[in-house]
Amino acid sequence: MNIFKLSIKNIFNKPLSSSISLALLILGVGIISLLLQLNTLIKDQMDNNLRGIDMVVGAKGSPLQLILSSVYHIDSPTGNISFQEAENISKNRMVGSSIKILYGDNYKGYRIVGAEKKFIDLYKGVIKEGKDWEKPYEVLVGSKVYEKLKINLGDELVSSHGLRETGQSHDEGKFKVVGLLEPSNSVIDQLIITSPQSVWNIHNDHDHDDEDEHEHEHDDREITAMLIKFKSPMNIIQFPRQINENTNLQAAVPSYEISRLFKLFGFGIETLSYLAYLIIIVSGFSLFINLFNSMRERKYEMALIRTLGASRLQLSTMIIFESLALTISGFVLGLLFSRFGVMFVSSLMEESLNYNLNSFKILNDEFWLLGLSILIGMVSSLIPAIQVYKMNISKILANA
Amino acid sequence: MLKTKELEFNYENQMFFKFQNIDLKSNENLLIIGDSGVGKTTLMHLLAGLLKSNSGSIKLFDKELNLMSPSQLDSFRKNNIGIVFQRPHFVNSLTVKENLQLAQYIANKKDNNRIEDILKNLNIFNKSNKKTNQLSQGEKQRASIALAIVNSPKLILADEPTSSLDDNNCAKVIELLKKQATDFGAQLIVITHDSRLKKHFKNTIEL
Repeated sequence: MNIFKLSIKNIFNKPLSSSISLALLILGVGIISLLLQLNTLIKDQMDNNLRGIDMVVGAKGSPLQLILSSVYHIDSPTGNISFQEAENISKNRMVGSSIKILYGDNYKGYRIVGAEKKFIDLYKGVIKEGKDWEKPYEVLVGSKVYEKLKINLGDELVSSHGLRETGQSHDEGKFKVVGLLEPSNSVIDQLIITSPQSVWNIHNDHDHDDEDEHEHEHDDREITAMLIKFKSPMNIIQFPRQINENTNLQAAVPSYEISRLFKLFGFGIETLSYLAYLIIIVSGFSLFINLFNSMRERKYEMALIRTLGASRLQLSTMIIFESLALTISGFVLGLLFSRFGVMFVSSLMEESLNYNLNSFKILNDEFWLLGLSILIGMVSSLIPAIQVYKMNISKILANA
Repeated sequence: MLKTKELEFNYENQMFFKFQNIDLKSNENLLIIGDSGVGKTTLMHLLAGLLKSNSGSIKLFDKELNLMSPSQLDSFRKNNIGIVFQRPHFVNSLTVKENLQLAQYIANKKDNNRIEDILKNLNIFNKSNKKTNQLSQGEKQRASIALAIVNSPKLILADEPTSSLDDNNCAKVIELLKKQATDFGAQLIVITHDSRLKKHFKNTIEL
């Protein structure tokens, strides 16, 4: 037996009032930690996929939609643009490198992207099995896709038109799996990637067969978007405006659009976290009231412990420890709660967005949350602890 | 062993007590008897070091209590004095055995054999693992005696141990206390208004 064991026994002796304080704390800590985790995970994921893309050129429409569709592959594209016009922009002296991508089909809900080979390098994609595509209709499959759909090397995939599973299936759209990609924790994990020519072949008339060899005078090929990296970061100010004003194309800057997006739902996150902090403070009050009441109920037993020879400090320590044991376990359980929350949300997101969020590290902000929990434990036990410290045992015993 | 001289105490609300001198030799028990309001509880708290007198001196085991700091008194008390209260008090979240272990922990001791011996001697060994609020009144009284003697005090102070008991039980409890004191080598001082106890003690002081 010792003072700490005694504190724990005291907590379990009052299961109801202890668990109310505990539940409030778990809720508060859990919500804040869940918000922090999701915010960080989504931001990391978004930033991770943003690497090396300074600007996206596509059809006119919503810039956010253009970014979401061609960088994150989660929204519908704004439309198509002419290959020739894109080619002209890519030759501009401000452009460092450019990648043309085009959509057309999907296979069981996963997008088939026609892209230049640089596209895979952009996301540091590595072929795990098989080889790169050489001929049209040969595809590389991202890790999420082959894991979910159990696709193997050499399989034939019959695509459906459009980006949704329900589209009409093409008879001619038979793709052959020639390579499987390593997981890269980026968007290519949930894509099926092929040469632009494959997509053109499916969607254009059959008289384009020799397009590979010759540049036609009237090139009517189209692409969906072009991802651009500038030579100098300075160009980000001038170049998008030039395109938007002087051409019928749209240029969007991913970093602007994403921070705009975060501002939009950041407001909701902020409101929710204020609410969660309020819950934590209420849990502190409930803790204080519990301790204060139990102090009055237990004054004879406190006096008894003192007459047995315990010092004032030992008794005060016991009170503070009772409070801290509750807040710290509230913190730990709150984190656990938030991890289950993250797991739940990410499983939801994976279903609907083909996105995956998984990383279970403890964030710096969560250490602050630990500090806050300890602080709440200290503050709510301060007055009861001082009262116990100043307790007049003789008076209490005389009135027994 | 106990020597008090010109002991005086006054509460803030002007209640004033002046106690007669006590001189108790080693190996003797003492009954202090007095009516309500003569300062019995005050005297007991003074002897236990729970209160400090305004003037005079208390010499217990050759130590002057009035010269000790509060923390010295805490430590003196846990090493030398066991207290039996009028109404038994326990730590309610603990079992009988755990209460005794807590008392030992506070005195930096650990001896489960002694706990067993005491509980057997008091006939409540089968209640060891019961919470104290599950005990009957008599069992509570015996458990509180166990708590007072678990750390082998040299002095047991009992405050009105028999006031709510009938004649039969009164005699039982006081004999039990005396027996425990003898068995475990301690001296007993009982402070009470209960005149039935007079016949059980050779040394009696009337306040």
